Amino acid sequence: MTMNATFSIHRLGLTIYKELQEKYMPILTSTGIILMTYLAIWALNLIDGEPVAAGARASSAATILSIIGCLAPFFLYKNENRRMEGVFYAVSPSSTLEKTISMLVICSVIFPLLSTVLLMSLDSLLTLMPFEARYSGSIWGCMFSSKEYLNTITSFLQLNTDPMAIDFVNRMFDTIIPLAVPPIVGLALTQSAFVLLNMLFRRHKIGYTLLTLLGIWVIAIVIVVISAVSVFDNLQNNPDINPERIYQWLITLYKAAIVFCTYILPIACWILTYFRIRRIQY
Amino acid sequence: MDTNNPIVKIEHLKFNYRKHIVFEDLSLELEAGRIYGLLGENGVGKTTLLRTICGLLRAKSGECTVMGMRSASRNPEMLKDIYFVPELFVAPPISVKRFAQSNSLLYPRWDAAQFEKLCLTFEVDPTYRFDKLSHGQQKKALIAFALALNTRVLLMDEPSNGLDIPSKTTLRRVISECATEDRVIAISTHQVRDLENLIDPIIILDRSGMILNASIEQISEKLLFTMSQEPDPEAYWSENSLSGYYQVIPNRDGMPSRVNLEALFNATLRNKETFKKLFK
Repeated sequence: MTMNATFSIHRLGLTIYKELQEKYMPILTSTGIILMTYLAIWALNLIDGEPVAAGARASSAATILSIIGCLAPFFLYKNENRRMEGVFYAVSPSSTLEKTISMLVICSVIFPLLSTVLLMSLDSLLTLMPFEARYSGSIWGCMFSSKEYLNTITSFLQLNTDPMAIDFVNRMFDTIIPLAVPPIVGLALTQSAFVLLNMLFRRHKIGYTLLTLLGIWVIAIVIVVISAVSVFDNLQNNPDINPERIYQWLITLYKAAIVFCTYILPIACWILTYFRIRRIQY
Repeated sequence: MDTNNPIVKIEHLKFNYRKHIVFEDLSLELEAGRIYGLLGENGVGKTTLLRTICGLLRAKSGECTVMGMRSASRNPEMLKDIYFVPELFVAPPISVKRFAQSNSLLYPRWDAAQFEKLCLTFEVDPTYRFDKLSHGQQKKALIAFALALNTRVLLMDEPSNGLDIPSKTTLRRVISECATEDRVIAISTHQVRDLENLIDPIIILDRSGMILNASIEQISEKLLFTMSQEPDPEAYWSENSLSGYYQVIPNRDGMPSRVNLEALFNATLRNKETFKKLFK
């Protein structure tokens, strides 16, 4: 197979343009849902009457964007793997790589960027509103900088005042910050698993996805509980173990989990999505 | 362009849906400049064959190539020259015009003016939302789009299903107008009367594979479609009517006759092994 058969920038551009022409309505609808939800929260805050800090708003904005962002593949690409509905997609003359990249660009770049920018703009607009429950400060920085987001969330959460706990959390955060990505990138990366599951299941996509994630979550919890029990057993049997060693072990585990979830898992999901699109039969 | 080279080549194709074997050893070639009629009873694999040719399905073994490229690999160079009109499809919630505009972007021989003209011929308004049209209108819009793409291979699965009688006549006319020397059109149908005088050669499939693959000329050389008062003892198939017996008999004297597709289909199904040998 020649390179032209695998990838052509011209064909990729046309594929993205074609898909945007077909999907602009669900993109706008999903963005509309995000904005309406944020407005509903703003209305609830108005009733409450208390000023809302940037940290609280950044947290709720990130939550709404994450939920709708994760559901977006189910709206945008719900038919592409179905036997009857997906025929037009399958016979479309672009390569599997171009179809996968186009899906990545629309789901993980265009949609998150558009919805985040519009949501931030709405928040900025609401800060100008002269109501009692004022929205003060900007949350733009929070969405585009991991450090700012984590700092804002930490100050908002008003963590435990126990000095040891504060020290532990601070050290954990010092570990996270170099590895963490801005919330908007996080949203794009989280989507990868949902894109894969959306292409994997042909019917009852959201239901099966939730069941799959629940299954993975249960397995993860079991592994964590077993690990924790064994660590505590170890600690009881060897009371002279240095707590710093345990702490370092936890930090390493935490780092590994972050690297796996932030970098390895999304890449693996997109590679699997590519193979799913390539192998799927209609 | 050498039109005698097969555009579609199928060699020893084996296909099954779990335990249901559809093709065990199917070999077939489709040449340019022809409109192939793919006939067969329900469930013999007409749709499966078309879907395999355009790469929607992957065979268990054997090879299916389109213009020298493996169809299962869905190479874009192949896909830009092939289009499949499914029997049943879900129209997207956009206008026919937008569907045509966006889906035609990757086809190099797309002719927008031809599409407009075909929509007019089929009496389909392209500004209407695709999914809001009736089934027949949706089908006509998709056929107009498929024909205006001007791909070298056009596969149509039961295109006349759901069309009213005038539309079936229009369908026959536009397909014959759009058939060119460098193009191969394959139409699967079990409503043979709808496409009479259009399809040539005829391919008849059954559960054991292909029974017949012959041009109308070859068929009329070997078979005589005739009406007589007495039944012929060697008739492959006969039907009694008020005016006598309509029969399909061996063409012993090389008499010309008009091939009746329905009679041919019935005769083939009743004499599978004989016809396999006759048209080998």
